[in-house]
Amino acid sequence: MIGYVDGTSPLHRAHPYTTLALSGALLFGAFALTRPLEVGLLVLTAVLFAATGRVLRSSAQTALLLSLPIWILLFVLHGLLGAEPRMAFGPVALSVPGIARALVLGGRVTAIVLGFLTALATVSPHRLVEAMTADGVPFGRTFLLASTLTVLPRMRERATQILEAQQCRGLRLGGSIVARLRALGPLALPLVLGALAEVDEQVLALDARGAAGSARRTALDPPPDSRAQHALRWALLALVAAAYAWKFWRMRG
Amino acid sequence: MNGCDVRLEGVRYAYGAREALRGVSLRIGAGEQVALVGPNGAGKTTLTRLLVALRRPGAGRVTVGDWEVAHKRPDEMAQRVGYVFQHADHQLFARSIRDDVVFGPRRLGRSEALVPGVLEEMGLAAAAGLHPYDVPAPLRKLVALAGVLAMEPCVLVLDEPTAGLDRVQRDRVVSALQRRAEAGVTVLAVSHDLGFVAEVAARVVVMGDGRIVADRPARELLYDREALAALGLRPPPTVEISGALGLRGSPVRTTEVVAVMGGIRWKQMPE
Amino acid sequence: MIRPTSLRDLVLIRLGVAVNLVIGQIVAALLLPVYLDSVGTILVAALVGPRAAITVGLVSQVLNAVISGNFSWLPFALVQVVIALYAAAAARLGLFRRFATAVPAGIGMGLLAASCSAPISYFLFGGVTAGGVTVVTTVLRALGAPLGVAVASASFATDLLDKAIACALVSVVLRSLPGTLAARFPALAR
Ligand SMILES: Nc1ncnc2c1ncn2[C@@H]1O[C@H](COP(=O)(O)OP(=O)(O)OP(=O)(O)O)[C@@H](O)[C@H]1O
Ligand SMILES: [Mg+2]
Repeated sequence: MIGYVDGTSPLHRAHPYTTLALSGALLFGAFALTRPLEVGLLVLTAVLFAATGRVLRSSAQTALLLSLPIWILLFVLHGLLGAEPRMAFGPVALSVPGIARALVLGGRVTAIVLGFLTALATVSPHRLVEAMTADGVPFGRTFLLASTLTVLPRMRERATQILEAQQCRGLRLGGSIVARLRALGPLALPLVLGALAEVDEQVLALDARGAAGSARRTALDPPPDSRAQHALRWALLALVAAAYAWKFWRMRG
Repeated sequence: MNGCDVRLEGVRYAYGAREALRGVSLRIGAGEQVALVGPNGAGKTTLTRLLVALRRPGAGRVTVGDWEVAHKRPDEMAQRVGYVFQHADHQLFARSIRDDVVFGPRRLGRSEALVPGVLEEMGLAAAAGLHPYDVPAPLRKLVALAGVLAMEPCVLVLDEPTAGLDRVQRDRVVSALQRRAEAGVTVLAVSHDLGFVAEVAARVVVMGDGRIVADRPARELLYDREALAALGLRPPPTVEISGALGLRGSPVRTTEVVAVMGGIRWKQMPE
Repeated sequence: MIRPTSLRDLVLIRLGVAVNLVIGQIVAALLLPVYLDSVGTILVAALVGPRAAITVGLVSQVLNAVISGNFSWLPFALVQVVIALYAAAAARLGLFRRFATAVPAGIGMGLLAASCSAPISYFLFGGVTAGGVTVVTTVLRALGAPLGVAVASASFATDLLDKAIACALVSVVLRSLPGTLAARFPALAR
């Protein structure tokens, strides 16, 4: 499951920025860690994060599903095709450094995806927009965030309709690569031209609703923040910075 | 032109777990004009999509003439069935209205000789050189209809063809369909607009919750107030007028009502 | 970043993002070996300008990550910025006016994009990212090419094809604009 899941866990109750900062720290921290053991700890942290949000089961399931293809490819790319020395593993000889590398890269991706899914499941989009508005984030950015997500399904439906309609006018989707490239015109043009033709109408509608370019809206229901959370976010930033400092110091040494 | 008959036998279709068609059997004879009505979500659009191979039935059989639809792709079905989408104005892409109308016949390898006549029929002859996105959306819908008519299909399937059109535009659609009916084209039109149904259909199939709940001659159903009320519909204006005046012979089309009324005046004048 | 974005620009940015994210549906239906997921960015670069196009690229990348649930694509946002700037420059030079110039412009864009994405893909993910690139990488690797070379050639091949087609498509779109619409984009006349 990808998307917000209603709940009352600490992550749900925390200020949206705090939860996002935690998953951001996982993302940036992941690239600072380079050894299998460190990455193991990272994955454990991501698991704890998801458990705190009480979305471990669904998030872990999705995260594993999403990173499975990457694990398989990593295994082939590094484990089977990696450098010497090799270790016999049943019928195949696996590259020892390759496997270590696959574990690091795969663990990283899994931890990042798990952290991200957890944030997605526990940060309510509404509270996030409220928090951003209360922070004085200009209308434009919150508009883009919220309204793009609402136009996407409509555009998708349009694309489906166009695909169906042109086929019913005799357009074949298969055939030679040249024929398929030529079919891009009748399929992509109506999507783009139709959307462009609606721009002015949409601008008028938004204007009528008083959404002037840089106007600021007052947040109606800003989520509560606290000193402790504020401090936590700064601490996370410091932690990530320290991790990178350590990484570069070690690389030099 | 030879008409093609359309048959559905025990057809079922589900979108995931949502059953949209729960066993539909329907036969539309070659050259017959049928309207498909019913509440939102009844499965009307789903049924029409099966006819052009855009969806494959989960069970049952669909045939158009001697073609087994299950063995065809939508672009192959286009040789026989012309499909006018509800949002047909979304499909235009050429740089002029004429070029867009020509697209279908060209794709099917057919003659483009019909194009000027079809443009004329839709009242687009003067606008043929304009860019389709330089004309209003309802006109774009007529352009799309013209594009399908120019393909010379032997079965015409239309989903809400009159939605969003004004009186004049709607009348153009009506006369175009009446002309096709005279030429023996099979017509299946999905519509909520009973005035339109009265003009173009001889038979009305009513769907409800994925099933066919009624299948009656238009002349009969459009006069059955109770049956219509059960569908949340009211008789079309022609039927209201004819009912109020007590006209004989259950006229449903405007031309029929005019003819009957003309007859009455002629008889009653001497008194 | 000082000039406030007009409402119209915002709506166009949203359109560009939507095109970037939805065009894949058409590409997939045609089974083309490309993504074309920067068509919206290139289009907005030509219609509005570099600033709006960069926003389109960045927002698309973030939303792509949100929707797919795959956060690991985020670092490729850098590539989107490069594409936006290049496309705006190409539009300024009028390269999208004709097919004959749009396709070479696309190949140039592909070279540039690949030079940015190959190192990201190599250093951050050891050559593994979702999609066709990875398959090409794996095949090349199996044929004996060193990992760095495999990643680079895979990115280059896909990016060149992808951007050449994307630019050609944008060129067709720009030439297909109805007169009334084209007149509303002063950036086009330049
Ligand atoms: N693409 C789809 N995915 C999932 N469910 C769908 C889809 N299209 C239709 N349905 C569902 O299938 C049922 C039948 O839909 P259909 O569009 O055939 O109805 P309809 O009779 O044409 O209705 P309307 O008068 O609103 O156009 C509805 O319950 C609808 O929600
Ligand atoms: Mg419908």
